[in-house]
Amino acid sequence: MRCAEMDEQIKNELRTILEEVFQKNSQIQMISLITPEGLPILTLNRESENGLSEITDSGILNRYAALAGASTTLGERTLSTLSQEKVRLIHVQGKTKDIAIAVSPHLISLVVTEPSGSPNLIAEKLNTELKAKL
Amino acid sequence: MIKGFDFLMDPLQWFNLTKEALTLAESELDTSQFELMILIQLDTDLQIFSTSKSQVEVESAALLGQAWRSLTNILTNELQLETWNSLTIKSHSKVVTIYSLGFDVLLVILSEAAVDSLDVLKIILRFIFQIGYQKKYETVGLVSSEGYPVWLNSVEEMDDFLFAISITSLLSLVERIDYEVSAGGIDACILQGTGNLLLNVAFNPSQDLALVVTQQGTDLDAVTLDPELKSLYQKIVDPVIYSAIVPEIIDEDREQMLEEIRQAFEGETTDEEIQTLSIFDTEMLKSLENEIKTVAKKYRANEISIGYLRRRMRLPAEVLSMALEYLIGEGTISGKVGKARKSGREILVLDSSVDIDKDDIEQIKIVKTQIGDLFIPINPLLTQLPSVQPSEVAVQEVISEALGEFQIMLTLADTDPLYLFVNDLRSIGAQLESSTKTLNLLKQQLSETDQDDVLQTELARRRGNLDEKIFEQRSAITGKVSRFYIDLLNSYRLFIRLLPPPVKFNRSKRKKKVIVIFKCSAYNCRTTVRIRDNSTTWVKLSVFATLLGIYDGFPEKSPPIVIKLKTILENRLKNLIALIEEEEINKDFVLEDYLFIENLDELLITNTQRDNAVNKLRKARAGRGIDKEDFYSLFGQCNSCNRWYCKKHMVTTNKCQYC
Repeated sequence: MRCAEMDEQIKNELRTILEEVFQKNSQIQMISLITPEGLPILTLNRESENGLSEITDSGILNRYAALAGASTTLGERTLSTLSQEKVRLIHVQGKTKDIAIAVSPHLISLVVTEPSGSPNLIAEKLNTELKAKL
Repeated sequence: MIKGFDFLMDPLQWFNLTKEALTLAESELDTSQFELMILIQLDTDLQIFSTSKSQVEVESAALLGQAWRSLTNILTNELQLETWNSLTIKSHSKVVTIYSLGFDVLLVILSEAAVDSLDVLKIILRFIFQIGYQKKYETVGLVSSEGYPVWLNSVEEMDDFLFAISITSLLSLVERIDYEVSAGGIDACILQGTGNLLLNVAFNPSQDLALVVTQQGTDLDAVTLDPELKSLYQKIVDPVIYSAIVPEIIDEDREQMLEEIRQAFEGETTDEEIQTLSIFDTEMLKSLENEIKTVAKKYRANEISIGYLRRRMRLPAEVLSMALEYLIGEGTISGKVGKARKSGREILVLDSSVDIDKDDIEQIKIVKTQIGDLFIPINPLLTQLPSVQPSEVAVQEVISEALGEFQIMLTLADTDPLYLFVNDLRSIGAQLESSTKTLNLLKQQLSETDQDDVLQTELARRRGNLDEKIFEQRSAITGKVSRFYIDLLNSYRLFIRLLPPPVKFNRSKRKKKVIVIFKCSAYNCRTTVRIRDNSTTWVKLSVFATLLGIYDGFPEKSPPIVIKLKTILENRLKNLIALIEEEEINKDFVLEDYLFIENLDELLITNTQRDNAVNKLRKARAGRGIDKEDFYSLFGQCNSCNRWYCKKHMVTTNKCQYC
């Protein structure tokens, strides 16, 4: 429902850009784009046969959006005690997956890769690249 | 003294660094408990260092080194063990522990059997950072999983409690990400700020300690951990259930400060205090009580780690600490919360010696309630205070902010645990769905096979089992949904103390937004505040304020976008209540009745939405003048009727003219 509200043309452009990113880097497992207000924009997932699929299940989309929202809030609580900065990037290195959440004024990108897949670099690059589109 | 190494260091530098760290650690340890502490480097030219108390001959050390090498060979080559970090040999009264500290350096500790030599390692680690890495990291700290500072080294003066509390948020975040993305456990989390701050948190394998380093810059290498440091840190664990002695006075300075605050704030916080307690529904308190009693019984433990309880109960640290104080205050649990002497972690110490029967508990409860009415129970609020503030910060300012009801409400109105709750429900829902599919398949097979008796019996048996399983899954869902509903209502009770439900929604020129209008509740008053915002949070507030009977009804004549959302929410609630009120779980059921739990999170307000709403109100101005007052300085909420009034219609800060 939320996605439909977004301009289809912009969404298609975003999809093309994300597909390219997936193609260039085989370690990426999932990318989810979320508005700074916490609304899901577009989420692509790599299937086991190397194909890409868009996640449209609102339950899953909301979960990721909630995750991004909770992450920035909790990250901010940490930073606010140490300095007056806001969160730019959260990179979590897991045993089976690496996760990065890049936050910019116009977009939150959530990128999941295999371990050591540098999702932090991908997420930050995406935020810069997509700035013009949003 | 060695002042900051250049990286990477060589084996001799590392040996010298550990040597200095051990010397410094010795001054902080109760040396009467340690008979021997030596360092050996198994290099071609053997290096030995023993502390002032220990005496060791070169031959003996060489022999120890030789024994270690032989054992290592056997274990890694013959038994194919991957890692080989420490060796412990215990007798009745003594224990020898050998730790490998990297670069072939061994630390040998001979101590009394009851002494935990991991404490030595924790202290050594601190000095290694302090002496060897002061150039590399601005701040280094070790924090236990429940957010208690073990130690902190910082270039800038920083309060270790404040630091640890801030890291706790990050620990919750990591837990959450691991859970949502199934990352298989987390090794490290790196946080970058919009300025120059870099922060790296590494976790030990048992996930009970977090090592935090910070540095300014943009180069991620600035906060990476050297392999030696990493391996040393990963040897340290904090056991979940920990025996320790709790001193009567936890921290004299802190106690004194708290006492002063108690006196200063006497008589001002009764209502707020009672309100904060309303978030503990009886079910949560009951299950916490059961958990404590079960652990105490099962492990015969009279000390339980607070971190363990937090994880078991999935509660934020502040809420758990308040719940415990409440249970102790009510006499439901007899004991106290304290700090373990060596590890510094927070534990609950139960008074096992006193056996109180049910009648006594009832009696104590009555007396406590009466006492509670006479005195102001301020303790739960005080647990939210960091112990000692950096000297530059005005103490009063920090105290008043920490005690400000608004700040506390913001912390308490945290819906992260509810999102986790919804996820749990979702997974049981998915199981129920798949069980139902299997059942339908079985039913079909049963109707198709009528000759083969054996097959019929087998299918019927399976069907019986499956019926039972489905029954269990449905009971689990009903139970959880009831609890979720209570938590949900409680979370909105808190939200309504932070955010006013609007009286009207108007169309906005911007597609996704509406104009939200708030008005003083007094009948003829015209004080009004308008904001332009996304409707989600405000529609939810209105629906729940109506449901809780705090407001008369949902604003009429609202724009379609608002009505649409309202209808969705009301349908979800209808399904939810129908499921809770279903009198007994009868055998025939419709799967569709359960499908709504997939979208239960639509009923919640996320923490970000909450913060955005508060920010909107803080920026909102009445009228178009140069009036600098925001919503919160213009309006106040009455604690009796929960309605919001402009200041003209409030008698005190929390009472309206009409109550």
